[in-house]
Amino acid sequence: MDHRKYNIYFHTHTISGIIIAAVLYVIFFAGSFSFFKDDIAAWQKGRSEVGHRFDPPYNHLLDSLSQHYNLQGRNFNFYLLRQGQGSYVDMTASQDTTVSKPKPKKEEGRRGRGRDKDDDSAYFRYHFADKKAGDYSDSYDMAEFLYRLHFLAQLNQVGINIGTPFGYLIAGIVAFLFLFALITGLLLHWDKIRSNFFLFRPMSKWKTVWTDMHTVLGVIGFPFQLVFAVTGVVLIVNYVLLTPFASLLYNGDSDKLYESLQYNKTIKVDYTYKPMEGTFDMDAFVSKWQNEWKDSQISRIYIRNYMDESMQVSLEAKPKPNANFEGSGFATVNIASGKVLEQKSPTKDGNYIDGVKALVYHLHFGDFGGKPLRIVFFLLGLMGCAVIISGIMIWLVARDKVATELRKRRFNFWASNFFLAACLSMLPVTSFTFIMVKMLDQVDQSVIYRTYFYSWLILGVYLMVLRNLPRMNRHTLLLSAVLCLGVPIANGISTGLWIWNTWQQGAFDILFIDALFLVLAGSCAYAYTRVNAEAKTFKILSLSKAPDKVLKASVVRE
Amino acid sequence: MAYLAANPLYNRLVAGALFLIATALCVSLLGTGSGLFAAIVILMTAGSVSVLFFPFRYFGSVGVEILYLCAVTLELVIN
Repeated sequence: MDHRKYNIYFHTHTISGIIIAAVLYVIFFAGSFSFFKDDIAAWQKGRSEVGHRFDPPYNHLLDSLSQHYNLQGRNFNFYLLRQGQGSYVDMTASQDTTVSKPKPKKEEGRRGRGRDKDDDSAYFRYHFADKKAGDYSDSYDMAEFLYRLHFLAQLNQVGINIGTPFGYLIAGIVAFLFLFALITGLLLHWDKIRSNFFLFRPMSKWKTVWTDMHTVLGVIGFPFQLVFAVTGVVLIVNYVLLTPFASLLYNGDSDKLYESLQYNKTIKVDYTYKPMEGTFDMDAFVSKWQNEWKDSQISRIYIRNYMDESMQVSLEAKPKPNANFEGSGFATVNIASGKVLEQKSPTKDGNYIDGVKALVYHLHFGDFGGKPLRIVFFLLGLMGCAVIISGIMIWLVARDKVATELRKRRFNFWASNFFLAACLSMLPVTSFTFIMVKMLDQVDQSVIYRTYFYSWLILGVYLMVLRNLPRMNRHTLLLSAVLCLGVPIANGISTGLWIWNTWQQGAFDILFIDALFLVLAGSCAYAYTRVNAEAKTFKILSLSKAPDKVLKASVVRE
Repeated sequence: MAYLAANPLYNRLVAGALFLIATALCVSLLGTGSGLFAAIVILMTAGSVSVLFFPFRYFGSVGVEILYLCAVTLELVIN
């Protein structure tokens, strides 16, 4: 490779990498835990969802709602949760203006979670097992927090108004730069890719250790990381990618484009003001279609003009991955006549869009091989974290030279110090918040926010103040070991769901989270003892005065 | 094992055969598409973990066997 190309790749890789390092670590770390989203939710609620069959409780839900609202002529959207244990329910005002008067439509931005509703409409989460509803904030848990942290959704609330959610924009930019860093990293390493494929020399000098770790884990895990960079960009900033197509092909009507891509389903049914005769058994209706689509799972249900003669119900379903990796199905039925207006099988009638979407979603969420594959995805996610940390360390040690100006070396150190403090404190802070959600009486969205972000700030500042990377490493390892061990203990104390109890009850989702944190605690404790016993000296040049030649090195141990 | 270690070609053949068997098991368990993707992801994880921990020699063959038994037990019990 000629020098010019090498330099282009090298600088693009370095600059894009160091700019996104800390944020990308947050995305990888939180995303890795999000593979266990359902288990974390079950753990926090102390309510196992394993092996439960949830009988459709829609009739019960509609009956309950009818005691507070006149349901005639309303539209309902049910967004079912992945395990089928519940659903988000969106109920609009009635189309019948004698029942309720629809309010003038407000200027639409992107719809947010837990959005406000007027008194005549509702948006809530409904749990099928105990038939209870809760609003978004009340049912917010660590699973949702970590899931949303992995695309920086919390940053949307900082009040920076640039016409698009700030957090999503940052996450999208980071994912895009990550793509650059990946491709240029591979090109940089291309000539040595074969000879150094398995080369890791942990007993060599530090720069070699970080470089080997960075390149070997980066190359072996390259397909995984590339998939996440591409699917991440597509998932988080698809509106940026799709806007030109909407302008070119759909005259700027992005709703139509999204409908063509099978994201939205517009069901326009004229209201007739003629009440439908008879009753509607929604449980039976849903069960019938679930039986018809045996290898699939119903994901969404739309009801239009409830109990009007024109009433229609539309269902969407996705195939189980072992039956069909790609595909999506839907059916729309006129309830009064029983006529099926349109239908597409989830398992047989797959099209190109189904294939692309299945690739993007399954590969990003790792939901096509059960828990064992999620564990594999989790491990690869942690390997991504190791690649990022080693990248930061390379950046520091490669610039720690006598020839480098003192102010630049100071900047490099403080940048690395800040990045590493932010990154390494995530595990202890996460386990601390897991403990707190079990120990506090009232836990909702704001409590989780305060606990997580304030403890992150305090620990991050403390680690930075140490101004000593090896000590930072040892402190976080020790804290992580203690706090991770505290997670199953806090669960046992607060709910009585000790590991042996969850084992006996077959509550393996709750057991899994306790076991995961026990393994993390054991790993951190083991790493701590090895680091104390074996780590070789880590030196950086003094930051207190400019060197004439090589001045006294600040010697610290790792 | 010693014979295999001394003969890289046989070593590679055995490794290739084991990989094919593992891939076939993934496909039979998860279906064609899911199984093939799963096999690639598992291969990446195994490669990353092996390369990262092998030089430290924390685990000998006994350690690996114990880990394997633990994993199989968990798999059978929890799944």
